[in-house]
Amino acid sequence: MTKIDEAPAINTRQLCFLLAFLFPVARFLEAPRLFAVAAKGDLLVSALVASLVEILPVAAFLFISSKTDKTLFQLVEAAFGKWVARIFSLILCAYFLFAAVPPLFDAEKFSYAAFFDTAPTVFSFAPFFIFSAFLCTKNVKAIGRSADLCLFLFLFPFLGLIVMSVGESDFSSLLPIFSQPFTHSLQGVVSTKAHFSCGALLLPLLGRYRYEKGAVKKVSIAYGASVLFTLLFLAVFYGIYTTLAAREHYAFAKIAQYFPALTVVGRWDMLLVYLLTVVYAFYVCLPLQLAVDCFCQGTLLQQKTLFSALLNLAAFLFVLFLNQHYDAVYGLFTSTLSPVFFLFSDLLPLFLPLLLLHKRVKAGAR
Amino acid sequence: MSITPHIFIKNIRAYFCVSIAHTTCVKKLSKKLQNNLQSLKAALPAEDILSYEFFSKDGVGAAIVYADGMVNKGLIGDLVIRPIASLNLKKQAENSQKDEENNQNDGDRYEVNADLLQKSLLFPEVKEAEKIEDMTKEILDGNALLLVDGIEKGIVVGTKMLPVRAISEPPADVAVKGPREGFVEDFKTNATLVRKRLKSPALRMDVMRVGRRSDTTIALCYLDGICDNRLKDALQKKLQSIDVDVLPDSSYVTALIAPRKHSLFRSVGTTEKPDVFAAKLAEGRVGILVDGSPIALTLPFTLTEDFQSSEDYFVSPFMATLFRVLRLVAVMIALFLPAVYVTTQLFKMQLLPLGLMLTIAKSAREIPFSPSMETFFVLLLFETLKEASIRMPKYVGMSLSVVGALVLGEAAVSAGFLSTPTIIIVALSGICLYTVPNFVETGSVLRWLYLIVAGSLGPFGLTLAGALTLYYLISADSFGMPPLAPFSPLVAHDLKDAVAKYGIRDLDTRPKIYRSKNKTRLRTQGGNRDEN
Amino acid sequence: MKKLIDKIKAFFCDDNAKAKNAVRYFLILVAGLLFLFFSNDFDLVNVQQTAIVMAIGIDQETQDFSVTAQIAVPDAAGAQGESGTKTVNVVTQGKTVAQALDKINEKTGWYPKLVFCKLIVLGESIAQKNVFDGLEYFLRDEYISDNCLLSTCEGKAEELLSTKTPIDSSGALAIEKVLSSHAERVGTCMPNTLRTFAASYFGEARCGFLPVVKAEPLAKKEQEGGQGQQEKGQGQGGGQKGGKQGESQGGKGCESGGEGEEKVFSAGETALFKDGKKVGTLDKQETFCYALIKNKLRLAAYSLPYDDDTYTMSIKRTTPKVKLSIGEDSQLQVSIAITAGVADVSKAQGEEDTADAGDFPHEVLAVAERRLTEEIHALFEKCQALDFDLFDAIDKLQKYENEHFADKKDTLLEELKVSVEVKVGGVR
Repeated sequence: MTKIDEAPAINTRQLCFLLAFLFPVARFLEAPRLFAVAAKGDLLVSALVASLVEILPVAAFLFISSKTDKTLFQLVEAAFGKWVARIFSLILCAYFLFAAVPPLFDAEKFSYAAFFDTAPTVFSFAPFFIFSAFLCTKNVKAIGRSADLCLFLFLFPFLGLIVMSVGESDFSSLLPIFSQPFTHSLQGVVSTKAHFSCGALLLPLLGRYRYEKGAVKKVSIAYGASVLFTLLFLAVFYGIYTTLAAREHYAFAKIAQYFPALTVVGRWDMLLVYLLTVVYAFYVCLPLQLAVDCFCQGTLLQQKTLFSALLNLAAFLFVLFLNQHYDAVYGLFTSTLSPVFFLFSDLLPLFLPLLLLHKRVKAGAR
Repeated sequence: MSITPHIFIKNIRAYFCVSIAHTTCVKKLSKKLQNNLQSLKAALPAEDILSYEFFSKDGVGAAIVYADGMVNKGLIGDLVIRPIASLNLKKQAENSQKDEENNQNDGDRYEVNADLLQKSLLFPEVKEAEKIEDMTKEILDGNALLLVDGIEKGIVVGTKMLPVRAISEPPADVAVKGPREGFVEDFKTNATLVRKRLKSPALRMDVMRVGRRSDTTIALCYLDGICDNRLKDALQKKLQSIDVDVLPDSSYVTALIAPRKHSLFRSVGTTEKPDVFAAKLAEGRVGILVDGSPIALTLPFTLTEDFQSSEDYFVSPFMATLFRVLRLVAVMIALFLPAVYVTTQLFKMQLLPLGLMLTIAKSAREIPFSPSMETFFVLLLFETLKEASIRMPKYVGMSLSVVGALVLGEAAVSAGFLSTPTIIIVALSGICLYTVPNFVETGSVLRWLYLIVAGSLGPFGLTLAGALTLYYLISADSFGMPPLAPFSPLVAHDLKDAVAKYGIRDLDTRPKIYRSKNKTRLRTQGGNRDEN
Repeated sequence: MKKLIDKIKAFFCDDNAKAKNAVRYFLILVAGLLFLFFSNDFDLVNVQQTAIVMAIGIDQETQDFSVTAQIAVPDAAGAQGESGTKTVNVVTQGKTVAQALDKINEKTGWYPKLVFCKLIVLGESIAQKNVFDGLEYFLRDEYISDNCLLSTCEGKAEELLSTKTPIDSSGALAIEKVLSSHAERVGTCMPNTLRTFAASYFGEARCGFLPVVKAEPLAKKEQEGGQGQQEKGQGQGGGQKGGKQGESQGGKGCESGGEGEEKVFSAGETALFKDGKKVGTLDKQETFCYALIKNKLRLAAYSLPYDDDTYTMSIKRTTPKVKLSIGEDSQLQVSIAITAGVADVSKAQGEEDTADAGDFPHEVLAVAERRLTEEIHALFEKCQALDFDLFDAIDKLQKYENEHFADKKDTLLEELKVSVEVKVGGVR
């Protein structure tokens, strides 16, 4: 057993908070626009389908957790041997690096739009990688605790923004439901898959999460809340922008600006947006944190600080050089490369329970 | 004074025992008084170590050795010298020798019995010391040493009377309602103040001596059965492992036991009030009293403690909640206002309404510095004035404040060096930080950091700096306690006394984060009755 | 080599080394930040270098756009607050609006920031073409709020923004007052924002409206004010006549407005846009009727003649409903419930009838219902003639009768009939 395997666990509450308060922010930045482009007024249908698809890996995660205390690495090791487990960890590490690209790009463009009055240089985003490098050195326990913090950092600003913007929203814009062909809604699911791929993010938490009685109910409620937050936000977003929705990038920084009192007191809604940005920053760092974790497991090396520094430097250079080709890269991730997200965040978790049937895995089961 | 006597005496005994245990040297006394006095003089050559020689009624020589100014001379005279001077020590010794079968006739010599001598003294705190090193330690500790010709032991008499400051209200922790007593520099007084509030046999004070030269007394205080034993044991080990030359204050202990050497945030709670100290022990924390320091330490520490005041427990819960929210908001203003002010001018003007922005723009256009530099200088000026006014003599300090606040500020604005809004912003930030006195050190550093980040990286950098601070705090456990508890990890039960303050009847169980075995705090009709 | 690897390992793995390194990283970071902080030159446009643009006027008399930026000039010696700020109008030309705006920097040395731009005025010239030729830039740019008020004017936007007014220190702020949400609530104008106007432009009906801002001479207005009020009552009795008079007078006022003359602004008329082009104008009375259908009015005033007297109703609240029913005869059902009290009567009343917001004689309410019904009918017919979807019929067709949308969307406006039901009730 490696040192990482001994990392402290997260509990059911923290898992619930991850699902309910951390993952939804991923869907507030560019996903609403992508939904609107694909499904127009049927964006809620599209989002609901995407959310339903995402339930499966969450259910698989809970099922495996209820059956065994083994980590993902140990499961694969028990079934296929040490070397396969290591290679698997490195593949997963590569996937997390891949999965970090869309949120990183979102975060970069969002930061330029929401935090500045004039277009800043690309280096303005550089501090993010210092932040990320710090987070990557932390363990799973810190991820759980950040989820606890997200309860306050997410709920208060999210509800604040919704209250401020709901008055301006015309929900009748969402009518009629199913006005678009269902294929359009499915297109929305495909193009936003990068934002609905929390299934893969849960995999490294296997074995570090302590399954408790009643967890299924709690996690279901948390996931329901997550879907509710997403749908509420999308409804308000489309109600405000209607026909303009497809051209509105990073709407969540803008939806509250129509609140009448802000003309008197200034854009104080931005403070709520900045609080949510803290949650988003935690979210963007999550795949990078897990990538470092998987890398350390795969290589059996413990130099987390070194790896996180190198990895974030690489990520910074990636963003720096591909900044000029933002649309092309982003387009690639939301269309051609979508199957990769399906593969790792949906199919892989669904196949993992099969490992429990293996006799060596069975031997270590609860 | 209502101290449980047997506990107190037990502690005193422990105090003396630990003192002896520390001694490693083995030099012993002889039976000749003058030789012994010479040996002691050689061990303690300082001028303030005095000896007073006198004789018993039948002419046996005796001497009392003490550190000048540290003993109660009246007590020595009345309860030590006077009884011995009226005794016939020789006769007593002869009588005693006759009774002993194995009496050895040493010519002219007589054998004065130390036990009998001790009993003759009308003093409760006496003990024997055989080694020179032990005696010097006792003398330096403020006790008097009685040497008698013919006894190769010294008798330590507890006549310590150190100069002690009177108990007063701590200047940094003033309460309008509630007790006003504060700790002083004397360990015994502080221990008494705690004992006065916790008259329970469960209150333990594990006394130890730390400091190779200062030999400072430290007491680990806890309520047995209420505190987390793992924490207590860990702290005990930590304290015993301290090997430092001099330990002048409890802040040294904080620095020496803190798990993170370079943390910006405190990992040990402090208080100058015995009522707060006692309340914290009763919640399940462990406390440390350090001789010579009026500041007691409490562990484990969470950041919410800084935002709690002793007064919160003596006013209505609504008022207490309001105060706490106010403190929280004030600290946020103190930390972020100068930074946000700079970022609005440099990166994101939209945060302010047009009218206010124009007012600021009006002022800023006349200033030769950039908004970030201007705020930096005003903050520098503020911190300098603050530092100077604390260090300056009282009367000079007052005039300095006036000069600084009124003359300098007004003149700087008139001369066009600084703008009025910047001065207002920095002054507001400065005032706000003092709503939470225990957070001032950390807050000042953070304010500088945030200002620099805001001026260089803008609101995005500032947001990330805030997020980084939060993430650091959630992962910076100290003695198993995350500083952001009970918010992260979330302990819903303990939120009753975090930002919101529930009524005393709702706080019927101890906070969960301290892992106390005994959970019941209040037994009422509706409360939990199964106290173990 | 092995030593080096060991050193690197120790550097990153040893706990003591980690603690030391953490301090080193921190100090390096702080040093870097301090360098950035004090160098203070990384493409920053701070408040000292910024032109705070409060309003934009766009004209397009030739192929080029002429952009008038009303810039706030913070003056330390001036009065305090937003209202005490001096403004200057900088006029620039360009092939696009963005190019014209960039020239502000060339002319003034200030970098224009539009984050505080709360008003865009479109000149008559651009209103005759597609207004989105000039507005596209504002929708595209992330740093401009799409919540700014959008209006059109008669003549040039540049002249309108240059108008001196005693109401406020700048024309933009005075116009914003006229287009306030209060004005919208009382039905004196129909303000619109860039976002909602753009949303309707990109909608199925491609119809939108904008208030027409006019500058009127202060002295003339005061004289006409008294007459106007009298005329209003009479004019309303006579259908659209009064409104048309007001329109022509306003137009003259704007044209005759000299540089030095102080004027006040009004925005009682509403311009109708289809496919981005102005297709018609609603006069004041029509605008009021439109406001009655579109918004929930509060504290609005409505005057009507009855029994040789003029009664002014104080409308406490209105509840408008517009319903589309598609059948053989497509019909738009407009129903408005109004609760109103007496604000004033042109002749002195008896002691019992002078209570605040007292009730009307029953007949007055009936007259009001009849008049409003007629006016709404007239408004509908006017818009039908212009092929303009003022009542959002196509929008309703899409949302609520979607199965007929494909068949009816092109012919709906022609076929549509309207039934209007106005109920005016007293406050008691």
